[in-house]
Amino acid sequence: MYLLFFGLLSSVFSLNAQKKILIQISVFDSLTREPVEGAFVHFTNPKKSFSSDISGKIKPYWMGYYDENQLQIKHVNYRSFKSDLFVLKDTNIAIFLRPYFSTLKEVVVTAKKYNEIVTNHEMSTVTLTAKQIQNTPSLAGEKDLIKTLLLMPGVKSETEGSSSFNVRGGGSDQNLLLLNGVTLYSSNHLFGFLSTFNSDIIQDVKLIKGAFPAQYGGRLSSVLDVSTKEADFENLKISGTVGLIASRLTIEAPVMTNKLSVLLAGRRTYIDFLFPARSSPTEPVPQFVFNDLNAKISWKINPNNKLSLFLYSDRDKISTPPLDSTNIKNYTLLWKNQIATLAWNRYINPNFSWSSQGSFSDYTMFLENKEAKSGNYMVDTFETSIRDLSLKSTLDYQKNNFEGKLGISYNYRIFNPGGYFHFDKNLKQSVNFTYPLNFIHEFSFFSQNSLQISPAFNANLGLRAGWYTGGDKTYFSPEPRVSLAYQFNEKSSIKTSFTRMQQNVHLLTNPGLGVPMDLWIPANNAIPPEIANQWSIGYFRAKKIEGSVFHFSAEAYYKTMNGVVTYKDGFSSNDLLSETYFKKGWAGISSVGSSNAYGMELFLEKKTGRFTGWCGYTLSWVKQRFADINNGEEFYPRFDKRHDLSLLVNYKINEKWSVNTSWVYSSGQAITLPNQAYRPPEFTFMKPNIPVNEMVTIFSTGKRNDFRMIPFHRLNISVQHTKMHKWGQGIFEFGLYNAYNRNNPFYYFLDTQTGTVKLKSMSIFPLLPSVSYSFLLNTH
Amino acid sequence: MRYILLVLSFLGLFSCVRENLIDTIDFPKTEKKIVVIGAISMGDSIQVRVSKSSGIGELYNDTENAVNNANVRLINLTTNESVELTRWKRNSLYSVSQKNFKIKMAEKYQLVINVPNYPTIYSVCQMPTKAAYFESILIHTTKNSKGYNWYPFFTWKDITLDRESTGYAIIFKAINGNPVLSGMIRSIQERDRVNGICTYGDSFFTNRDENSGEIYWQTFGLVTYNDVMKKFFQIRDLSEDINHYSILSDFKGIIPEYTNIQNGLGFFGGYVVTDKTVLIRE
Repeated sequence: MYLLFFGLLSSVFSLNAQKKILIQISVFDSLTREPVEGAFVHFTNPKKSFSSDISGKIKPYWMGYYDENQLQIKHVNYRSFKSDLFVLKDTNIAIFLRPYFSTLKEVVVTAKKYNEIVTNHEMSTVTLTAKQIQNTPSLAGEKDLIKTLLLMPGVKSETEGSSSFNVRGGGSDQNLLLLNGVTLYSSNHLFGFLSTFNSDIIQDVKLIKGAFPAQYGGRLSSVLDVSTKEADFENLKISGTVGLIASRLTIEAPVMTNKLSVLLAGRRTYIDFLFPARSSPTEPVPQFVFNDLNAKISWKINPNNKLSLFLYSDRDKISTPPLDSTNIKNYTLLWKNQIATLAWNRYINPNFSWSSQGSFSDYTMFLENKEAKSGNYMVDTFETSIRDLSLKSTLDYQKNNFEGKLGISYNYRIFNPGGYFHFDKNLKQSVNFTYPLNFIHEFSFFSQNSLQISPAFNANLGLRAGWYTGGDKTYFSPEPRVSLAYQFNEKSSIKTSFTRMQQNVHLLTNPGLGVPMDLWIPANNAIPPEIANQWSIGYFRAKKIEGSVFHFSAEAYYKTMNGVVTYKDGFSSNDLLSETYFKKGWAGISSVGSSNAYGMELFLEKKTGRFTGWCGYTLSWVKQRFADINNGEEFYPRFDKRHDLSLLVNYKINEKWSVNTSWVYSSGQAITLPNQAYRPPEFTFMKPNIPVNEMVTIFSTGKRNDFRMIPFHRLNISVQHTKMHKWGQGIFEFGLYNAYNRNNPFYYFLDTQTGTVKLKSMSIFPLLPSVSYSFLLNTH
Repeated sequence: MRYILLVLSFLGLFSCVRENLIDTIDFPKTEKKIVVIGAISMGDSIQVRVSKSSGIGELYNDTENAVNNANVRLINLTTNESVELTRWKRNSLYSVSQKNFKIKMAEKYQLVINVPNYPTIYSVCQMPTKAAYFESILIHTTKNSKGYNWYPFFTWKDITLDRESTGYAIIFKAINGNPVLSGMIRSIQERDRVNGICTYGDSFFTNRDENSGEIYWQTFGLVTYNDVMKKFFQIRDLSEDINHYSILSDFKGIIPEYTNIQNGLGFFGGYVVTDKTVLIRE
C-alpha cells in the first residue's frame, strides 16, 4: 500500500533445485532513489528481523520453498510497507519507500539489477516506466507513451506529432497494439497528435522490435504491450492532470479491502469548448472532440486466484456545423474503439501458473458528407468496422534450468469492409453499396521454451502455429522464434535471434496525413497474408561508473516482408466515398508488394543518479517494391529515414525542481515531387482542331519518393515543480515544444499563386509553450 | 498567482501558431524531354503536337517550348504505308489530311519522330477494334421564362466488358457551323459509365434564349477511345488539381507518370465516333 516503487528482481542465482530460497532486500527512497539506512525489515516465516545498512541492504535471508511469508518494513521517516511474499526462486527485491510527504505516481520499477541488460535473454526490446513517460517533454504538455517510445532507436514517427510509428522499416499497421492483452486497431486521438493510452494509469510498457516471443503474433514489425495498473486495494486515491487541451482524472477505490478494487480513469478534451464549431461566410469551421474511459475491477479471490475485468472506450469526432439554417454543408468523421476483457490468473504451484482471458473489441469508423441547399439535399455516408471476439489461455512453467510458456488462442473476427450510401434529392439518385461481411476464424498454438544450457549460454526456442480462414481460403502459418544469448562475463553479452511473423489483416492508409481514415482488410483469396522474416544480432554491456549505472547496446537487423499492401497510385481514402471502391473492390484500389529493411541501432542509457536519460541512434534503410507502382522498380517509402538521433536528459535539481529535455534529429522523408511539366491539348472530341489556349499543365513525377525533405530536428524542454500541500501533492509543469523554433516541414506543396510554380514547405509546430498541473489528493 | 501571470506571459508571447513558408527549396534538376501529343481518328485530319517539357519552376511558354524542326512520320504497321506530317501554321503542330492516308479501325500505327539533339521517339497506337453506338436518344423538353431546356436521355451499346481498356464520351456535333445546343455532360459520364443510360441528371442542354418556335436536328456523337487515351485522360484530369502533388494535402494519392512515348513524354492514342441525329422541337 505504501509502496511507491516496488521492484521484483527475478535474477536467478542458481537454477538448481533447492529447498531453501535466498531473499535479498534493498531499501531505497522512492524520490531520491538513494539507499535508506536503518529501515526495520521483518519476515514472518521464519520470523526474523534485520536493519538495513548504509547501502540499504539487509543480510541474506532464507525461507522455505513452499512457505507463505510476509514482509514488513518500517522507518521513522517513511510510510510503512507490508506485503505477502510469493517467490519461487532466489530473489533480489528492491523496495522503494515513500516518504511521509507523498508523491504522485506509484510505479513498478522494471530495472532490476545493474547488469540486467546483459543477463536477461531479451533483445530488441524496450521497456518504459510511467516515470519515464511523465518526464518526457511533450507537445502541449500531454504525456504520451508513444512520444517517449519515439525517442528509442529503431522507432520513428511518420510525421511530426503523430502517434503512428514505424519500427525497423515496417508500416504503422504492422505494429500490434495491445492494451491489457487486447488488440487496438487505432490508437489515434486528435489526428494522431495524441495516442489513446492514458499515461496516468500505465503500469508497464514493453515494445518488442524483434526476437518476438511465441505468445505474440499477428503483426510483422513490433508488439507494443501496454498494461494498466490496478486500483489500490487499501486506500481511496484521486489524481488528475489539467492540461491545455485535455484533462484527466483517475479514481482508485478499494471496494473490499485487499479483496476488491475499482479503477476509473477518464480523459476529455475541451478543444470543442475553447474553439467551438462555427460558420464562416463560405466554409464551416470544424469542431474536434475526443474522450476515453478506462475502468478496471480487480478481485483477489484468494491468494492463488485473481479475476479482473477491464473496460475501455475511446471516441474521436470531427464535424462541421451548417452554414445557416437553409445552407447545410456538414461533414462528420468519427472513429472509436471499445474493449471488454475478463482475465483470470491462477497460481497453481511453484512450478506452474495459468492465465486465461476472454475479450471483445469493436473498432468503427464512420464518414458522412451532407449538403442541403435551395431545396436540394445530398448525403454520402461510409462505415467500416471490425469486431473481435478472442479467447486465450496460457500455462507458465519452470523447473530447474528450464522455463516456458504454452498456450492457445482463438479469434473470431467480423469485418465490415464498408457500406456506402448516396442520396441526391434533386437528381433523384439513391445508391446503396454494401460489401458482405467477412467472418474470420483464427486459431493459434504457441510454445516458448527457455533453456539454460550452461551458466553462460541460453537458448530460447519457440514456435507459433496459426490457422487462418478468410473467405474460401485457409492459410497455415508456422512461425519459428529462436534467440540465443551468450554472456561473456558479468558486464557483457551477445545475443542473436531469428523470428518469423505473419499478419492476416492489412491496413489501407492514406499516403498523406495521419487522419485515421483507415480501412482494415482481411487476407483473402486475392490478397494473401503478410509474412516477415527478421534476423537480429546485438552486443550488450553494463557498467558502473562512480556509482552510476550505464547500459549500452548495439543491434543490427535484417528484415524481409512479403505481401505488404498499399493504395495503388492515384487512390486514397477519398475513394471510399465514391463508387470506385465498390466497383473495384480492395484488390482494385490496392497493390501487393514486398519490402526489405536493414539497419543498426545504438543505445546508451544512464539509469541512476540525478542526471538520467539516454541517447539513441539508428542507421537504417527500407525499400519497397510493388508491381504496379513506380513501374515495378524499388523505391524508398516515406518513412525511410537514413539517420535518426534522439537524446533525452532528466535532471533532478532538488526535491522540488527538475528539468527534462529531449532533442531529436532525423534525415528528411522520401517524397515524390514533379520534375517536369508540359501542356497537353484539351481534348473534348467536339472541336476539329486542337486548341492551343485551353490547356492544363501536367507534371511529370519521375520516380516515386525520389526526393528528400530537409532534415528534421527539434528541442523540447520542460520544468517540473513539485509541492506538498495539506490536501496532497501537486506538480506544476511548464514546457516548451520546439524551443528554438525550427521550421520543420510538415509537408511540401506546389504554389502556383504567383504564376510560376514554387516548391514550398509548411511548418505547423513552431515554438509552443504549455502548462499543466497534476495532483494527487490525500484521502487517508 | 505568480504562476498564472508567468503562464499568461509566456502564452501571450509565443502561442501564435503561424504558417511558415519556405521558398528556398530547389527542385531536382532533370533533362528536358520531347513531349508528343497525338490522337488519331477516322475522318479528321491527323494532327500531332511536338514540344519540349519545362522544368518545375520555369515558366512554360508555348512558343519557347514548341519544337518546329521535327521530322514526324506516321506508319501503318498493317500495310507498311507511311506519311510525313508537315508543320502546320501553329507552333509545334504537325498535320496531314486523310485524303491520301486513311486511318482505319482495328489497325496499328507507329509514330516516329526525329528532333535534332534528342533520341528518336517512337510510339505505337492500336485503333479501337469496335465502336459503341447509340440505341436511343429521347429529348425531354421544359419551358421557362428564358426559353426552353432540353434534357437528353441516352442509351447505348457498350462494346466491351473490360472497363480498364476502353473509354467512352458523348459529344454533340455542330451542324452547319455552331451546334444547336450548348451545355455540359458530367465528367463521370464520360469516364466511368458502362452500357450507360445517360439520364436527366447526367447532362444538361439548353437552347438559345429567344423562343423561335423552330425545329432543330441535332447530331450526337458517341466516342470510343483506346486504353492509352483513357489512362492519359485520367491522369490529365487528376493533374488539374495541383494538390495531388502536395504530398499531404487532401490525402490524395500520388499520381504516377504515364506515357506510351518511348524516349519522351505524352501519349499517342486513337478513337472512333459513331453518330445519331435526332429531331428537337420547341
